[in-house]
Amino acid sequence: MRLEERLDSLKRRVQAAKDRGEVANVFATYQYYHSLIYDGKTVEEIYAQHQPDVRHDWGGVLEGLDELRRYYVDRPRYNGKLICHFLANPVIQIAGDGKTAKGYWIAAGHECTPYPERPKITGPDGDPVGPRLEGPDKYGIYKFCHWVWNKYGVDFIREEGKWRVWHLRTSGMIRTHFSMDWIDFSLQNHIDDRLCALATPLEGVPSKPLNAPPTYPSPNPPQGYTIAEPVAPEPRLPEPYESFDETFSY
Amino acid sequence: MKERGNNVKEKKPEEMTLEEKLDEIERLTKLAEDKAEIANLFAAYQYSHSVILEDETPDRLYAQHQPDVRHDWGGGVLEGLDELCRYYVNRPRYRGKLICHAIGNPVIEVAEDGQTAKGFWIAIGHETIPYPKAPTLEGDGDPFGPRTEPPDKRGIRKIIHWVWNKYGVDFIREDGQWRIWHLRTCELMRAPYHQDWVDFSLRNLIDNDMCGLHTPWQGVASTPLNAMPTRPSDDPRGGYRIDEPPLELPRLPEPYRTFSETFAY
Repeated sequence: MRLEERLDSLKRRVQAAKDRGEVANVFATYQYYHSLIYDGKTVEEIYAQHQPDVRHDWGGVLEGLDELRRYYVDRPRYNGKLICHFLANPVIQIAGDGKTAKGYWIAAGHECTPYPERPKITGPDGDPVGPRLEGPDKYGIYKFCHWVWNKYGVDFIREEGKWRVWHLRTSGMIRTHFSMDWIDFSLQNHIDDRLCALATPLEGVPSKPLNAPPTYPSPNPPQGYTIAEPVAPEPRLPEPYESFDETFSY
Repeated sequence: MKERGNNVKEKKPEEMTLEEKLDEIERLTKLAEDKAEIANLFAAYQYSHSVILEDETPDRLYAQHQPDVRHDWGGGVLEGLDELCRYYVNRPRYRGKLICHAIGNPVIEVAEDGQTAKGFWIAIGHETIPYPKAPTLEGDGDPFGPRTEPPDKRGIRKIIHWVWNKYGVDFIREDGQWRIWHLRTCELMRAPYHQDWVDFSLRNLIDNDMCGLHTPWQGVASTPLNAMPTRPSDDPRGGYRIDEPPLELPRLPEPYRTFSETFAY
């Protein structure tokens, strides 16, 4: 191989190695912001800015930057609210052309929101009361305190030299209240996207409903653990590819 | 402990010719690529395991040309491709069955000769099997799992366990692709959802009788839940024991030149 060809080849390969680390960092940062409930930063810093089909499908789909802003900006941030999705089991593929990437992760985690009075349905979006709210504990606190494990399939795209989340697919694996195993939880409740009840903010912080509605329903199968079905092989695992038109989209 | 990373004696950059510099960059780039491919490979193994679509696992992920290709999970060893196929192909895939071992904490060492590699991971996870009646002994004589809980108020018996494991893996390059050569699964702890692992250790010996054979809900033709191993493990230790300190198992990989100079998992 001529020297120039060798240098070009090495440059591409080194860039791919660097890209892999950057893609991992981008998605870990997404989870960091999510855990702090600084999701407004996610829209500007993490999601693609120039792709009309930028989206997050978690069982409902948010599509387009305006819709992502509607959902994420000023998301309620209550005292005692805690979200954690700890990423593991990464499979990352950088396209041969270096323009896109795909990643798969499993996340082990939890979500909790405590509040002093039982949530009520309020607001124009009509978020339902979560059927999984326990009765008040001895302190009078109503708790939503769940173990939550997810799987993620993510398409990334390079914009202006930076990697951005383009299509994000969140696929539930298990969800259960702390004091209940997920088999019982599956039997007790349908696993759908009405899990998170509207809560009255502790501090009277003006806010939108805890879970604003999606842009449209998800075309993908329903989520989460159910005793009634075998586990679904999704999201799909990414495999090596040359350019995005040769692979599937999350 | 050996120093991690590059152990190759290098000339100083000012002493190297351009060709030598390119060779060194090529070597380091290949090392980074190999580590990424190995990380992807073992995560893909866990993916297949988690969706219980393991029919292709022996052919796609395990070494094809090594007679001693194996998986040792402490309760036994599967050795040879035929044995791996016997175990993995048509593994029962019941409704409500869920297995997850999400790997993290990686330590990956690629041999300097680039022909083999070693990896260590910890996995956090869980295993779930619900079924409507108590398992019975059938077929290969898989033992009844002593850890099946009595039926709940709906008559459902559940194996629903938190399971954390450690993995030590030898990889080998075949036909330009990395493959799993020796896989050692070492349980770190296991406990039913409503019980801590100290109590579980007291209640049960940690052995391999965990998952009872049971009747598939749908009459799906399948191999027994836990087909018998090829042979017993050379070192069956593993799992949380209240009466033992933590085990240094599997060993952590260290930098090495070629496989004959290191240990085998």
